[in-house]
Amino acid sequence: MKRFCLLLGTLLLIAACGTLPKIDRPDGRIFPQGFADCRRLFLPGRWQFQHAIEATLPGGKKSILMGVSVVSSTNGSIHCILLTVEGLVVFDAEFDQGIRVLRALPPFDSEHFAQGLINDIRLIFLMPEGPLAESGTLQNGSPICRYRQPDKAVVDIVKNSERHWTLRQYDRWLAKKRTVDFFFNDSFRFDGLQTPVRLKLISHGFDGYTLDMDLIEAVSLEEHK
Amino acid sequence: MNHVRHYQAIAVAMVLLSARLCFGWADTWDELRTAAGKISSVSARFVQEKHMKILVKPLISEGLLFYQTPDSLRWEYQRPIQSILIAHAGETRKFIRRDGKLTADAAAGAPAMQFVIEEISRWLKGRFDENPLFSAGLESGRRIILTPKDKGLAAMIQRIELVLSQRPGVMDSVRIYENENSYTRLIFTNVELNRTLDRKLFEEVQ
Repeated sequence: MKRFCLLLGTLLLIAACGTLPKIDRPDGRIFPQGFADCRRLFLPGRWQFQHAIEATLPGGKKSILMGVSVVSSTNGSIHCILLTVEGLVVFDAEFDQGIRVLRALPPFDSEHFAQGLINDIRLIFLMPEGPLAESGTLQNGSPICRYRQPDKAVVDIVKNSERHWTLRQYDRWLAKKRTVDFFFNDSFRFDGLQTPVRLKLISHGFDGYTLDMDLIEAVSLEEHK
Repeated sequence: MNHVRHYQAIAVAMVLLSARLCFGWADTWDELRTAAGKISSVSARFVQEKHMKILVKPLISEGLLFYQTPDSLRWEYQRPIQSILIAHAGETRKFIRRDGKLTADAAAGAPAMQFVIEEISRWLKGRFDENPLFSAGLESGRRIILTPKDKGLAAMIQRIELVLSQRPGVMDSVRIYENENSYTRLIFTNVELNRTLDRKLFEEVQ
């Protein structure tokens, strides 16, 4: 029985592992601005974003909330707040080297939720921590940047079109953890910078969930120092 | 989620109360209750400001409210997220815009909505001092202060301040304090009293 369990566990582990999409024609010249394009997803400086968020939870239950994220690319700090449409703060936490939960009402009061939300916000708004490992194109011709993270996870950033980018996060076993689609239009431009008007984050796995985020407002905090 | 329901009830009740307070500014709870019987309908616009220390500018929501005696209510946020609460003929429904269309909000379960409606009914009758959840005080400057009695609720709402207008039937503002760093302010405009309201407002969500 032990051997069977071991075998089963090994098989499951193997099944859970994945492979990364192949990068063709590894060639830095795909991004003429020296990979600045991949940085385009992440606004430099300190910003306050307000989103309407539709969360689809495990089991298909949907919930609509407002979200406020104050994010600094300079020091990686994050402050995130979730509110009901009526304005009640149901979750309030900040991250600056560690997470500090300031307010969390059920069902948003678990440590797991706080950690997950902060990780999602980091993924969406901040450049990957690790170095650029590869770049080139996918087989369909889409330009891609691949980052190796300190924890051996991998983040791929793919430019599908001028107005649609996709970020995929893989764990150290290369199983897909998160997919984030970024959609741009001309509504939110700031001195040549653009922020996505819509974001869709999919958390893969047994307890997966989806966040659909529509941008309501983006405010640069540099002038509010 | 009881406290969330309480908060939602309070927010709804505050909005309604703003226009329902046509009491000829009273100094006693009895006068408020007596004057509450003079209104047959209310319509108004409202702006909701969410102030937090962390925010460089408040979050703004806007909407409309309609009330018709005895118990018909439409409380509608128009932006940034459209959300409509309708109570009519003993039925309470809530809708929220998703993917471009208004759909019933499954999160608004029947018990929660019943709680909301009960709270609204109590306040619309001017019975601030009869709410078992709050201590109510009438103060100078046409202010009503509501303070939660329950510790659990107090952890969510520190106090509520209602500032009445000089004009009978209109409230200048409502502030719901969650703590010293966070409060919600409701500002009411275009208040119309005793106007004939279309029944469709309470029967259709569009």
